[in-house]
Amino acid sequence: MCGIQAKIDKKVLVAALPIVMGYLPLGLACGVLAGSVGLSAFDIFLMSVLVFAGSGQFIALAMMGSGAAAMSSIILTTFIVNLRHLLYSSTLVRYIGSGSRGYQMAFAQEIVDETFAVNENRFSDKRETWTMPQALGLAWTAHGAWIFSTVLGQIVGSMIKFDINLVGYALTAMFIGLWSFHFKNHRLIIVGVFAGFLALWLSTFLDYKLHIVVATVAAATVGMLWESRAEERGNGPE
Amino acid sequence: MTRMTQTEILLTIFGMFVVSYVPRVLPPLFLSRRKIPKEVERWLKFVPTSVFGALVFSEIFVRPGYAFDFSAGNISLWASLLVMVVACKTHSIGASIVSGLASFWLLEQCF
Repeated sequence: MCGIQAKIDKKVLVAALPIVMGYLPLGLACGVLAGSVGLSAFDIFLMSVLVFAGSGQFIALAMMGSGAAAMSSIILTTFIVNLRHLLYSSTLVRYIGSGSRGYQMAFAQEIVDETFAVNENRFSDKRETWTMPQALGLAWTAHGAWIFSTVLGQIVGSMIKFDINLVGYALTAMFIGLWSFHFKNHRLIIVGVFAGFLALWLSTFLDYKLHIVVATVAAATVGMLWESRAEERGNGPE
Repeated sequence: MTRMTQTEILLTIFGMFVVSYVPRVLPPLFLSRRKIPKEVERWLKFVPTSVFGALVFSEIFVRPGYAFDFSAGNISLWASLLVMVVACKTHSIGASIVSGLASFWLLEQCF
């Protein structure tokens, strides 16, 4: 396990703050759910360490609670829900590809919607440097907050009451903010909006967040073909 | 309602770990050694905007049970329009979240 470097400095903490703020209430809710379906504090600790996937854990816990769901169907559902991490991981390879094998394997475990979004944003920002140790430091900070809040939720259980809709909206607002950073040219905006409408239509017949994966793959392909054709005509990437 | 035994819970968690880790680790193991082709690079460039578009639209319009909410009483929609303006003007995630939570909460009190 040589060469796994992580760095948590002020810049990392500032970048991690919105994720941590979003994770605390969300993780508490996840921990409460875990307790209510019969998981111990150790069980949810283990799940948050090993699986680390917000929506994936919520859906799995809900299935465990229904009693009817078999182990295999929970695992299969988790696989489908988390398949989008393959896209994130492929996107981040260009930034972490020069790291050691150990670093890349450690970094891979930390790829979720939020850490992908912030790391991708930091890495692609040409004005400031963002190093691989900082990226892993950010991911570990987020993961730590997730583990802490889910375990805390299991322990304090039903003692807490909060507005679940409001809590859920914090992450939506963060996604909108991160999305807007990609509005660098008209193609990126139009393809993103297209992906949105496509996802809505797909959600009418695709379950378990699969509509997110399919919409992303289809829209990115449209974007790629569009830019290729534009380049052939002499209006290359902007 | 039958609950899972402790062994079943641990086996499920381990199974979830395997199927979550494999998609995350495959790209670095197999993509990093060689140069990524230009077309793939171009495709990857459109992945983030597509993912966020899909996630944001789903969060705003899709309700549990996969029903849509296109009504004027959709609080998420109005809050999100404001967040989009704030995000484009300030380029700050913090400002996006704070304005989103504040407007969402205010709208909740009104409706």
